[in-house]
Amino acid sequence: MKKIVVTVAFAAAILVGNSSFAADKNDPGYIVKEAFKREFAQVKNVTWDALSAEDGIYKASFVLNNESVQAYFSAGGEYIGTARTISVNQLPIMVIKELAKKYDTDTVQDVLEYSSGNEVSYYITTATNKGKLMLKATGNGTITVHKRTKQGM
Amino acid sequence: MKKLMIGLVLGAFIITNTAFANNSNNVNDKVQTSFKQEFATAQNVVFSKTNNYIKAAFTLNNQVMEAYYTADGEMIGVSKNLLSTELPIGLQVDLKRDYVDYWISDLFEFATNSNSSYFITVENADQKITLQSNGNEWVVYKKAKKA
Repeated sequence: MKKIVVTVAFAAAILVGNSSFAADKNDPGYIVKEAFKREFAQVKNVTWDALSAEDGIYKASFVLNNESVQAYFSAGGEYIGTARTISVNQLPIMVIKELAKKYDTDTVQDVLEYSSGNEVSYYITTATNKGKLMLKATGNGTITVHKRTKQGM
Repeated sequence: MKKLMIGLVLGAFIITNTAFANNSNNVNDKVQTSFKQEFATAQNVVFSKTNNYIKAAFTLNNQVMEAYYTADGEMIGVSKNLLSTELPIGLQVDLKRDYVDYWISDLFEFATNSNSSYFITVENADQKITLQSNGNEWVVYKKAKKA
């Protein structure tokens, strides 16, 4: 149950927008920092943000292989997942193929790679003259509509 | 049978340098139709074949890819080369943690209709290891000591 709450809060935080708190509330404390070190031992420079007071989620922002990455942890030190913005060309082959097949006329605006546990999923925002779509894709090329926004809304 | 074909194609990548004969005129309609159904917007398509399978090299989204087919037009899989920074972040982290003293000599994605994996070959002075991704983790696919 806790995992579901944390995952939902995490997804909401990365997809809808981040609501940071005052600077003194952004320090995640010893347990979270140690959890971060276990996951990303090679990373030295990290910026922390508190994302959700009620669920206690902290975001670590850092650079890995010259790319900006965000990792998310619960206040108890549980590693929730990682997100980064990627290009269309970094999508798995089957996702590129299905996008070209089904959304050929759409313009891809951004792509977010989201890793959690042993799974990687991709959130792709596309635009047409009718509105925007946020698609969710998995590595095997399965694409579903995650969110639909009509033009002018 | 399909599993055997996937093994043959992967073997061609990882173990041997298979020679392809450029012979697009002799690629049958089944393969060409199957390819067009899957990759309607592909460009610069060149077919070639070995005794075991037919390869279509093409560009999609300005990326070079290769799709492999049986003579019956069944797609075996699709591959593309990539940079290590293009791997999902979890795989990059594991690679940096576990193979920091190795150099990368090969990296490609191989996808079938039901599965997608990254294959990376890392080497040091003593050994050569090919890893296959399973979700966000690497598993050893092949390991060999250098002579």
